[in-house]
Amino acid sequence: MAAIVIGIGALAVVGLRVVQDRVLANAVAQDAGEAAVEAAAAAVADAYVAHLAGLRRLAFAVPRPTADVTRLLADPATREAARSAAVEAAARSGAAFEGTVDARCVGGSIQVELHHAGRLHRAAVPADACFPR
Amino acid sequence: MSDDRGQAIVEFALVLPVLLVVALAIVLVAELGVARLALQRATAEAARAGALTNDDEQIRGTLAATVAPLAPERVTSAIAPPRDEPPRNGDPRGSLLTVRASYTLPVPLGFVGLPRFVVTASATRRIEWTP
Repeated sequence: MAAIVIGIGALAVVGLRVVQDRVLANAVAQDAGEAAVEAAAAAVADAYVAHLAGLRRLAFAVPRPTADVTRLLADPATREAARSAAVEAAARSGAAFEGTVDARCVGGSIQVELHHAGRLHRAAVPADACFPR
Repeated sequence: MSDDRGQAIVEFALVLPVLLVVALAIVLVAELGVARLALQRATAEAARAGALTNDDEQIRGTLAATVAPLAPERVTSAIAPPRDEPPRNGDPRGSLLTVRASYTLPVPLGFVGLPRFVVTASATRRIEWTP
C-alpha cells in the first residue's frame, strides 16, 4: 500500500516538474523575444534620430532635404544594427535569435517585428516622418 | 469483523505519514513553479524599468512591485553592471543591463531540517536612457 502511494506521489511530482519546466521555458523564450524586439526597436530609433540630426545639419541647403524613413528602414546598415541588437539581447536572455528583423512605417510610427520561438514580437517607435506628405 | 477494522486502522496509520509527505512534496513543487514564473516576470519588468531610467531604486522598486504573489522581502537582487561603473555612470544608451533575482521559498516544517529551496531568475534589456 505504502509503495503504491509513494509511486503515485513520485509520478505526480515528476509530472508537475516536467510541465513546470515547459511553462518556464516558454516564459523565458517569450522574455527573450521581448528583449530582442525592444533592443531592435531602440537601434532603429537611434538610426532614425541620427537621420533627423543629419537632415537638421542640412536645413539651409537648397533644395532642402526631407526625411525618407522608408529608405532609412531599407538601408542594410539600419537592418543589420537592428538585427545585431536583437541577437545580443536575446543571447543575454538565454536564447538564440537567428531570424530577421522587419521595420516599416505604420501610421505615425515605425513598427519593428521579429519572430522568435514561433512567436511574433512587435515594438513601435513614434516617427512623425512616417506620415505621408 | 472487529479484527478486520483494527487491521485497517493500523494500515492507515502506517500509510498516513507517507501520504502527508507526498502531499507536502506536491504542494512544494507547485509553490516552486509559481515562484519561478513570478520571479521571471518580475525580473523582466525590473530590467525594462532599468532600461528606461538607469536608476537602481526604480529597478528594485519595480521588482518589489511586480513580484507578487511572492513576498518582496524574501527577494534579493543584483544589477549588472553596477550604477557607479562604466557604461552606466556615463552614457549607457545601447549597452545591456541585467537584473538577477533570487527568492528563498518558505518551506513548511523547515525547522526539522528540510532543505531550503532558492529560485533564481534573470532578465536583460538594452538601455534606452540617455543622460
